Amino acid sequence: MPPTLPLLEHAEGDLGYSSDLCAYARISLAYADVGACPNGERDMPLPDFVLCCNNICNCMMKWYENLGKHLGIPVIMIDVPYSNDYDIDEKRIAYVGAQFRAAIKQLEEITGKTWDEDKFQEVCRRSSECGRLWLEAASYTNYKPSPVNGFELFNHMAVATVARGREESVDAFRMLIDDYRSFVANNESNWHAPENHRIMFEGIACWPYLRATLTPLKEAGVNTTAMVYGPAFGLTYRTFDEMVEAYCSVPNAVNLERSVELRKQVGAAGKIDGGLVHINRSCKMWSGFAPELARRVSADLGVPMITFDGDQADPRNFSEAQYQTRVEGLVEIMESTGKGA
Amino acid sequence: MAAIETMLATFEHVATNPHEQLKEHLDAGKRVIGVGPYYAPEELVHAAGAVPFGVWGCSGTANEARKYFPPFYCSLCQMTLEMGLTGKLAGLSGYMTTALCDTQRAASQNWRAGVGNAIPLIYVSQPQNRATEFGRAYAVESYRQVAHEIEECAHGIIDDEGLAASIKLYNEWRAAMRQFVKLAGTHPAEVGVQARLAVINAGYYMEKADHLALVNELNAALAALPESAEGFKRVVLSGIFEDIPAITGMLDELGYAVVADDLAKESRSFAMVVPEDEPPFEALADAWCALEGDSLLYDPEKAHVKKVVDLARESGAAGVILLLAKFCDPEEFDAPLVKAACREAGIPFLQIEIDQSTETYEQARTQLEAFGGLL
Repeated sequence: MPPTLPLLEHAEGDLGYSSDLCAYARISLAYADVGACPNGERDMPLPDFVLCCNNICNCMMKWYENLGKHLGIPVIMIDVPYSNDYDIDEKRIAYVGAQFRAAIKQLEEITGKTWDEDKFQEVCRRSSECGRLWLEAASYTNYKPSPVNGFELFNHMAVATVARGREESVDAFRMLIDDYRSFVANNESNWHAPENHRIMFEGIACWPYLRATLTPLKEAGVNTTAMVYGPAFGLTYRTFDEMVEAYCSVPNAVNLERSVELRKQVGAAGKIDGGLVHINRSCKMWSGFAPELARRVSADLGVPMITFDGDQADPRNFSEAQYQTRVEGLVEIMESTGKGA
Repeated sequence: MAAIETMLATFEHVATNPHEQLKEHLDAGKRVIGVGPYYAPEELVHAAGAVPFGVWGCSGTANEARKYFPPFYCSLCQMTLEMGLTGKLAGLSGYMTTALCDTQRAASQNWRAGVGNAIPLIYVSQPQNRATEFGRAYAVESYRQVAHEIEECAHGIIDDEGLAASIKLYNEWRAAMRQFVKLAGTHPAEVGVQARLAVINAGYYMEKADHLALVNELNAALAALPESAEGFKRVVLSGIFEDIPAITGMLDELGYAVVADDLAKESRSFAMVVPEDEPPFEALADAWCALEGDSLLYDPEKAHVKKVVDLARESGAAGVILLLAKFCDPEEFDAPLVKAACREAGIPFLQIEIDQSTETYEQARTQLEAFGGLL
């Protein structure tokens, strides 16, 4: 049984949540209720407060409200209004910046600790350095042939996601870059298959099915050399306002045109021949204009983009057979149009 | 009673013939701007001299919209886009919408991609951290920017004096609608569920001043009659919207009376009171910031959940029916909490999933029949 299934079933059964809601949220709310991992994995401590930012989706807001209510703990909310414009405007910077400052006061009240500006600056410097190094590491997929199995970024991104402010993360990404550099220098790769085609993987990974989503690609000699999801956690900034702007500019907070441009940039840099677009049942924000995004990227880069249905965390919403067929279809088109090596 | 029936027939005609209304506005040389969910500052459209025209999807199947949205999105946004893509909104000079949920965020981009300049999008960005000075400042600035976009579409200028007058009219209208909702709840023999809905929906298509005059007349006529709720199954409707003809038809048929509602398209939309003693843009922002108890808003105390229970108690409802809009995240997050709170308060609770593209509701009939027995 997939390890997340008991928690999903608890969320839908005991707690009464709709199975249409984001699976991250359902798993998290169930865990908050159960307080233990059902499959014997190491338990996480439950929080004393939650800090919520809706720059990736508004689902976060309702999810964290419910967590706060269920656990009887405070919610600190950083609201990042979605931007319909290409650029992040001044009123957003002012609003979001003011919320960061207010959050500092809330944190002081909740924790009883005093804000340490020097420590903050140090963590910002380190986080930014970590973000820069992560982006550099991820960029090694751009080499042709790639020294990297692109799916590996789904593993390494965990460090950038949850531990950007730690010195160990900076060290880890330096080591990763050293590895990739030596691969290039020695004409090696940890992609142990032919690289007949190079693609963009668009969207969040199907975490319960990482192997199942990689295997058909590997068998067909298709390496993933471009993605937005992993590198999205490589936030870089020098000043407070730049930090605010960085958090306002994450993929799900920006408009269609900017989203397309971002994909075109990583797709061109990764020298892609095609793309797989994850229509993610859990993520209404990411999937909501994915069909149009795929059409535009496909037209502008002149490469085929194929969609498949899946889910970032609910194993019931992914079919290996359908995925396999989609990958075969993509490969067929790439070969018929002469795309690829 | 005959006068009430005549008035209700007028509302019914308007509510079921929005295109006729649109044509009338256009024939009169007015510019018309579509207004979608939720809680957009409609006063700005009125102050610009244009007619605000409600666009909340329609019953039907999304075909063209499916090229933009995957299937698991709320029908309200899908059908609104479908209307835009298939020319059903031709004549509108703009479409104003907010982005309080993820589907709305995506819908705004799909609208620009699919409908484009044929009906320009007027995107209203509202802050969720409302009880703060910086939230208010964001709302003021945002509404000022929206005003410019409305002026472009409306070919009119919004000045403070005109906007203050529009705010006054809208406050009167909202107060009249709140009164109507109460009177309809106490007079279900005269105003059934479908008739009540028609009165509300007509307000989305008529000029506000015209609708206000008719509603005031109806309210006066109802207030003069003795209450008639005896024998009806008195319920509170919660959710986003109720206008699924099959559902409202069943509610009438099975003897239900809506004594209060917590619907985003109905009472939540009339809840706002805009201050009339301060500069108008600041007043609109203050009104937005004062909203609370709503699934679509940041609500860490879950005041929305308590509000539903309070509504049921205060209105004397015997039960709560949650019309859960399928794929609506904000409502789906609150639904289990609302259900639990009602259960704890001893208030019978029924949840029915609705969708503008669902064709049959026979299961809902069984649910409503059984629920009626409980009440």
